[in-house]
This record gives sequence, structure tokens and C-alpha cells, in this order.
Amino acid sequence: MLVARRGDWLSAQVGDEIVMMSAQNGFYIGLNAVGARIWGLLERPRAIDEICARLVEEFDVMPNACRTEVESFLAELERHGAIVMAPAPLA
Amino acid sequence: MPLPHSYTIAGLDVESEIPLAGSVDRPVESGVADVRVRLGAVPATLDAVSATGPTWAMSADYFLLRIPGVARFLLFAGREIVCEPEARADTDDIAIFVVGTVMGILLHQRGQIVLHASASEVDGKAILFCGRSGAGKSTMAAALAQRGYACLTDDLCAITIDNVGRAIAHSDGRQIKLWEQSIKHLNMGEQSTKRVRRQIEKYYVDHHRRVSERALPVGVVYALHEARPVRPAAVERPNVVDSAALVHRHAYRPLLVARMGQRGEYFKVATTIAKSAGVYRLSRPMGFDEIPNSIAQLQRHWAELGLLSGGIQCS
Repeated sequence: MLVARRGDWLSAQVGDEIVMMSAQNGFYIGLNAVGARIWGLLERPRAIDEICARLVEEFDVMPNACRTEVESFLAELERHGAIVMAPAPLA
Repeated sequence: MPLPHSYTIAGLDVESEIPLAGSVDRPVESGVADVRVRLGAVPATLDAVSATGPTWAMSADYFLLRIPGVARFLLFAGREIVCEPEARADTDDIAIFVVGTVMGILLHQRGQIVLHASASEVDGKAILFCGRSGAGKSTMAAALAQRGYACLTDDLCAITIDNVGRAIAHSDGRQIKLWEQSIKHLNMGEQSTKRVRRQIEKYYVDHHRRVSERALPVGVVYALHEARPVRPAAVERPNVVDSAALVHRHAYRPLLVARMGQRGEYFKVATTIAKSAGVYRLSRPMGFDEIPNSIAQLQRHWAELGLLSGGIQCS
């Protein structure tokens, strides 16, 4: 599964968190430190496997738990229109 | 040619053909004002309209606004305001809207950040109270002015970011305005000078010593809520993203922020304020009897935040 950012989002660091706003509709979302790292990784489209591998290296987390968390986080971002997920490689 | 009246409103030098009752007049200077207010003919419609509402229309450089029974206003490029009075309207009626709604829209047209908020001066910082019309912004500002906290603005608050990244709140240069009901309960009846507008029953109150014309860094922002059921005043801190969104939502005219493509600027200010000042929800009972308790609660909060250097002021 490949993941890519979608739409035009502005972001700002506030303390440990990142606040993002959709330039299209003014919708705000907030990302904690791990969420901010995932968003950073998505500067280019990446496979979920790759994202999880990076997070397991960087944070104190077990691979299975990491995968579950990442999937639910990405589902949330997708719901807010911030990313697209595609089974095939993206053009 | 310089116009006869001049003011500082929201950090702008404003020259006006009509007296802007309620604003603090200052000596006429060189005639290089940021904004000029004139009487003149205003067209009924605009060309190349990009957005409209029931009483307004906008194009790239123009904004046309009609206040029925008062005047039609044409705003050009954030610099010129032309007013064409409607039948029986006097210049005081028009002035109320020039320094309120029209100036707020003009600030949007200039691409400046303007919040729907009152602001009071506490130890050199601006304390903002955000809320829609009727939320109690003016009443809060007046009650604080009575206790010696000068009022910067009671309805629209222009915000800039200074060169060290702080959010700065600007005075609207106005005397305070209040609902009639508010005045009676605050025992300021004898200070009421001139009715703001017959239809809406607001009064100007002379507050010369308690009006601040300064531009001050934002210390804290409160969003006003009525406590229901009635409970004592309470402050609650929303999370970071809700804080930023809450500031953004209290743009003077959120619709214009979207239509004028200014969301990015508001995002920047909203996150700056969330970062540097702290944003809180203030729930308090709306009754006038409760005001002293609400203010005592606020003063405790300012002390906790380290905003008070010289102890708590009393009336």
C-alpha cells in the first residue's frame, strides 16, 4: 500500500505538536510528535511498510503495535483528505 | 486636500470628511493618511463581482455594502471609503458603521488580520476576549475599564506580528460602546454621552482615562461562553490545534477570509498566538451580578500565568 500527501496543507510547529490547516477548506488538524514524523516522511509517497520500518528504528515501539497505530493514523488522515492510499505504485 | 478630521484606528491613520463620533480625535497632520473617508455618490452595483451576500458585493478592488436606512459604502483597495447617506440618516449614524463594520471589512480588504474581539490592557499586555455579537465583549471591556484596565478595543481587534514573532494587538482608537442594559448595571449612567444609534440602543461612554491607544503584545486570549447551567466562571485550556482553530474562527468576518484568499495569513497568526500567548475558553454566567466574581477569577488566572507584576488591582 502506497501513501501520498493530498491537497495543499500549511503547517506550523507549536511546542511538540504540529498544527496543519487545509488551504482549500480551512480545516485544522493537529499531529503529535509521532504523527509529525509520519507527515515528514510523506514528503514523498512511501509504502506503509517503509514508514513502519522507519518508526520502529526511531521510536521505542514493537512492530505489530506500530503497524496498528500507523494504519489507524493514516485512516484518520485519509478521512480528513490529507492523504491518498493506493494499492498500486503511484504514477 | 486634507480632510477636517483625523484619527488613529486599528493602527491606521484615518482622515475623514465626517466626524467619527466615538473615536478619539487627534491633530490633523500632513494629509498622508492610510485611509480616507468621504461623502459621495456610491454605485448601486459593482462590475466583475467575485462574491456577494444579501447586503454586499465584492470585486478585486472594490467592496460595496448597504446598511438599509443608513448608507451605502464603497471601499476601494483598503484605502478609500465613500459613503452615500440614505434618507434621514445623520452623520453620527453613518460614523457608527464606518468605525465598526466598514473598518473591519476594510482591514480584511487590506489583507490585515482582524479578530472579532475586545482587548484590555493588563500590565503592558493585551488580554483579548473573542466572541460573536452579544457574547459580552463590550461588557467585559467596560467592567475591566472600571477597575482601571484600559480598553484597547471593544469589537474589532487588528493583529500584526512584530519582527521578533510576537502577536501585537492594536487599539481601535474608540471610546467604549455598550448596550443600554449594560450601562445601567455598571452604574455609568451619568457618563453616557451620546446615543450610538437609536435603533440599536447603544451608548458611547466617555472613558478618556481608560482608553488605551497603544499597540500591545497579546498576553492571553479568551473565547467567551455562557455557562449553562449557571456555574461560577471557569477557564479551560483547549488543546493546541483547537486553540489555533479557535483564534482563526474568530476572524472578524470568517467568510471574507475565505473569499479573499487569506486563510494562510490567519493560520500564521492563529498558530503564533497559540504558541506565544495561550488560548482559553472562559465560561461564565451572563448576569451582571456575576461580573465581579468573573473578574476575580480572571485576575487569579492572570496571576497564575505570571501576567501581573504589581499584584491585583481593585476598583
